Amino acid sequence: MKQRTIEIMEGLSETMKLPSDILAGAPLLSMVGQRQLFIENYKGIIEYTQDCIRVQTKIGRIHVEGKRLNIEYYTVDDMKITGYITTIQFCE
Amino acid sequence: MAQSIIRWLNGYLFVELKGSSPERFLNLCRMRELYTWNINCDKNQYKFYMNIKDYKELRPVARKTKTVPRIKRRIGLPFYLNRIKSRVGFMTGFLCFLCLVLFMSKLIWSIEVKGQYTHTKEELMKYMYQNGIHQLILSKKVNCLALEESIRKEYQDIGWVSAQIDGTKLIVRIKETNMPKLYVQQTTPVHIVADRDGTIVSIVTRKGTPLVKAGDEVKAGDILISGVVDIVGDNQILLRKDPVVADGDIMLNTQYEYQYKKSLKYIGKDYTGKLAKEIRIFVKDKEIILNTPEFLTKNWENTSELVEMKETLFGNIDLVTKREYIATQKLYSIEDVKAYLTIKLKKYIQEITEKGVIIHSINVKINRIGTNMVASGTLNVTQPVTTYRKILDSEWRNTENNEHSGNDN
Repeated sequence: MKQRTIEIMEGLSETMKLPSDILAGAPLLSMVGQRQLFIENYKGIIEYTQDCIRVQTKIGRIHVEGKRLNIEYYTVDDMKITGYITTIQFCE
Repeated sequence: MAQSIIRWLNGYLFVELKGSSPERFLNLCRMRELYTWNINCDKNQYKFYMNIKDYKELRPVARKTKTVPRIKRRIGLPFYLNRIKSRVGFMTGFLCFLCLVLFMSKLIWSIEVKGQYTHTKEELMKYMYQNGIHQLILSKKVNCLALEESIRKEYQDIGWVSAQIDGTKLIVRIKETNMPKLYVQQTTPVHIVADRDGTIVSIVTRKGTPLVKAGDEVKAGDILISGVVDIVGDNQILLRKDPVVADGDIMLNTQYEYQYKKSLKYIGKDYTGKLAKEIRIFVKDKEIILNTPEFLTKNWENTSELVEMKETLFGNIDLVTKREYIATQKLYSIEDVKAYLTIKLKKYIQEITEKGVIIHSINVKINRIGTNMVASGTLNVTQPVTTYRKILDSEWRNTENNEHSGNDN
């Protein structure tokens, strides 16, 4: 049901020529090389260890794996992860 | 960078978090907008930075999540001030020192003059002092461009001036040029007049009416070329008179009187061989001389080669070595004075020759009159006449009576 809602919202965003993160609340991820990752539109931190950071978003969880991972800063809307990032995984 | 400075000024903490659910702690901090940064996880020990203000609101969050945040380090100005509270005197002194250094670096501590040849450094320094530029003034008060211009205007023979402030030093560089005397062109109507008695050798008129011819005897003040030109009509009737700037080359044969006197007497110095040191302190433009009463009672002469100069932060200190002498009246030898007078005469001849005067004969004799030696006589010369006199209105303006009204206007 949730998956269906997300699909509808994303379709609507595309029809209205709006960015999908507005209606669907999809997270925005931007990376600078392999060392920096910015995540926007996240809901909370599920797990944080040196090698793995799991973040909850509206569309599901994002697993960031790597080595010596640090959270440089995090606010209500966005966060910045630094370290050697090896994997980014999207889970439902 | 700016953010780091603001953080440092406000003060922040390095916190270590221990507990079972640090993620929940972080989420709650996020929801309550308690700002943390540089979160680092190392073997289940979480470390992060936090503002002082936010840390005070951390207690309910920590209780809820059963975590223990512990301050590991306090960073920033508030903590630094707290630490140095017991050293108020030292800090005040340090601040005063900083202010003093800052203030003193804004002053001009020394003025250097470079490139002078005929003008002395003292002369230029005196001129600059009269214009309000001296040591220990604020460097922002020195307007280099205005200074350059005023020096150029004051000294005609200084062709190039550069003033620049280098740290706490004002450097004035000059270049002296022997500029030729400016030819003053006459603009108002003038006559050319004889400046002394003599005989006209030659006269070439370019503008004006010549009143003399070669061979004529003239007296000082006589008009040689008149600036009033008669405008004559076809029927030889004088129409009007026009004033012009008289111009022409006139050579005048004349005599120059020469006299120069030099006394044989002079005050001589007999040195006793006694030396003493005098301390001179220069602060700003003032000179303070420290010496013993001995200096005031006897005659002392500076020995310029034995001056020691020390530049200090507050001014220059000169140690001047002086030697004692006894003043006695002495007489020059006649030969020396004759040689001196001959040099003077040669110098005079050189000066007038440079002005375009041709010397035909020199009749100068050196005689002793009492205790003086006098060089006197005459020089027969031919000189150009370059003396002008303004034309008066009455010399050229023709006033005619109005026959009907009888009014002169």
